Amino acid sequence: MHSGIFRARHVIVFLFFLLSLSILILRLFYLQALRHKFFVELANEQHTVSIELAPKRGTIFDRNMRVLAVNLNVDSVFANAREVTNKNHTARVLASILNLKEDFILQRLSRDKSFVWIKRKISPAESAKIKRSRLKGIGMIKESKRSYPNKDLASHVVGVVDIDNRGLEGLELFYDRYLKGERGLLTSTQDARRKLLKSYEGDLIPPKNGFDLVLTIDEVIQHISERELSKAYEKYNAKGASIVVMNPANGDILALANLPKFDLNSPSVKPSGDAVRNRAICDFFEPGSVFKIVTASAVLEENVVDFNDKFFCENGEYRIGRRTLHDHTPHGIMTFREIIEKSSNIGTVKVASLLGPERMYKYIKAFGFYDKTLIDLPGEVSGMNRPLSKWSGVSMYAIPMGQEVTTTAIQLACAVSVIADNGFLVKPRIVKEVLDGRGRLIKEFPPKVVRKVISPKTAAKMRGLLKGVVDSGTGKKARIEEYYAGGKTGTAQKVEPGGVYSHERFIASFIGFAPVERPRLSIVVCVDEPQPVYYGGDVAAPIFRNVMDESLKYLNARGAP
Amino acid sequence: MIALVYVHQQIELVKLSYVIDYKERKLEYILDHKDNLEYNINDLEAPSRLEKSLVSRKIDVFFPKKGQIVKVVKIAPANIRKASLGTVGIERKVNRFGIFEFFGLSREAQAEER
Repeated sequence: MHSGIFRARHVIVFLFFLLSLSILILRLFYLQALRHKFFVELANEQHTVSIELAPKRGTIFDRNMRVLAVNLNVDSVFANAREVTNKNHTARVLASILNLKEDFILQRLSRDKSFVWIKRKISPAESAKIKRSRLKGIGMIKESKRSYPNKDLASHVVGVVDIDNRGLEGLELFYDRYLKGERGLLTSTQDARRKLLKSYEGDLIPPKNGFDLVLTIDEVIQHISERELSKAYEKYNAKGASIVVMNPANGDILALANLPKFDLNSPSVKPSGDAVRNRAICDFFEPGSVFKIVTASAVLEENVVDFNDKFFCENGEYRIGRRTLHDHTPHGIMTFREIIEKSSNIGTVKVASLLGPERMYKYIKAFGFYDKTLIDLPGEVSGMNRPLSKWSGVSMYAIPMGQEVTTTAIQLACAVSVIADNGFLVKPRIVKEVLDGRGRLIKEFPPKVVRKVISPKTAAKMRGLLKGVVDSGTGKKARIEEYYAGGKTGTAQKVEPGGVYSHERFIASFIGFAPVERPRLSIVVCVDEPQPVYYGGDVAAPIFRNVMDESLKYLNARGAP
Repeated sequence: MIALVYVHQQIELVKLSYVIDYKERKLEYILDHKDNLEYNINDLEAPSRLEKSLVSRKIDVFFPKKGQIVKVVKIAPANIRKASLGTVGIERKVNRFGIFEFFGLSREAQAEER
């Protein structure tokens, strides 16, 4: 009897355990087999992460491979607002380190988010202070920041990027598609603390870093140009100034500077519109007497005049209908050579009248004043010049001496380079080539000759004529110690709002080249509203002299061609 | 047993991941440091900074004039050099034990008093 009861209890216990085990096995089957896909997806969602890999933006070099713009990895501060315990204290500490308003940071920390930006791309000093403060819930991520070792050198040429390294101005904008590169993608597994597990990396599409640019700009010549321009800009309380230094043979821009300028490393300090504007390509103005090189080239090319042909310059006052032309200094009878050397407006107009409007228009067009130069910078304008059909009866008394016609500084640089380069108009270029990160050539931008404007014989005559301007004419202050230079001064009246020419506001300019025998550099200098002195020969010519003198010596010392 | 080995393997893989991650961060730090140093060099070599430094120390430096630049010509071509240096090679081999010096036969320039 007892053994029967004992056996029954065994069976009951056995059945109980069998039932439990069956339930477990069924449950296991349900989870592992029937709901397998669901749990695998859930696990993948938690453990698998896709990360965008940022490419490195390309570097910008000058012609001698000196760095003008480069990317550096810097820290950006973020907060896990849910983990910040003492929000007031944290906001106070961060505000004092990062120079931000405490309210702003407090507002960010009050959000119910696991990630909020506090400040992006901070300085190494700020980063070190935050690390030392050991604030709970505050972390840092590395981001790439565009940095410019020369600060404000060539600021209008190089340009700036935004906080996400997208080009906004200058070459950073114009060549953004080469510089930016392509993002990559990494799929990987992360642990419970969101740390990537390198051994479990999945698919990788590597980022393609941006290409590097090699410019035609020479860092030293750029510095010399900016220094000399700054001296005159401050001395004469000018409103603005520009200088372009060009190799007339191939169109290489060795320096292009404008004032005012701005510091490329201080994007938080928003420069005024004046400082950001690239005046050399964006501002057009009536050039005044520098434009006489076009008139002189045209009459020589058409064999209309000879150097020794004489003209009566009306003793400084010439009435034509209701208009009266004046010379700065009254002259009587002058040769054509003297008219250009002494920059007689009356003489120039009389010489041009032998040419006629059709031929005058032809040469203005040939010198490129009706078109953009197509320099590789954004924002270039071509000036507002009327077609021949819209010229008035008095246009031929204004245009030959540089009124009623507008030009930019870069157009003037190309025009004077025609004379320096035996009569050929070349396209200006700022970027020479594009390289990859290993220095291999990706793309080259070769020099380009646009067209022949005047014959080499006429160009040689013009070089001699412009040498005379410097030797014995209005450009004496442009004389260089070791070389013969040629050039033309200009003192252009600005137009007042009512449409009349001002007697107080002028643009002082000088365009020229050296050495005369075989020009290596051509330079254009324009100073906007210098005071109290405003003549091109007094304000702009000395800038030309100083820049040309030092630049030629520097090129000789380098052994540059 | 196999399961234990598998689990051990996975744990080692995870540990290795952390080591790789640490070394990658260290490499990244060194590379960033190098970039920063190069940037600082470029900054220090900037023409404006150099000029300010020279001016502050009252050092006048000018670009040389045309007549002050001397271009150094290349030395004689290799085939001529080889012929003249051939004997030196032999002498070196023979003179290994300082024999020439012992007999007072080493090459030396001797300036004579006049």
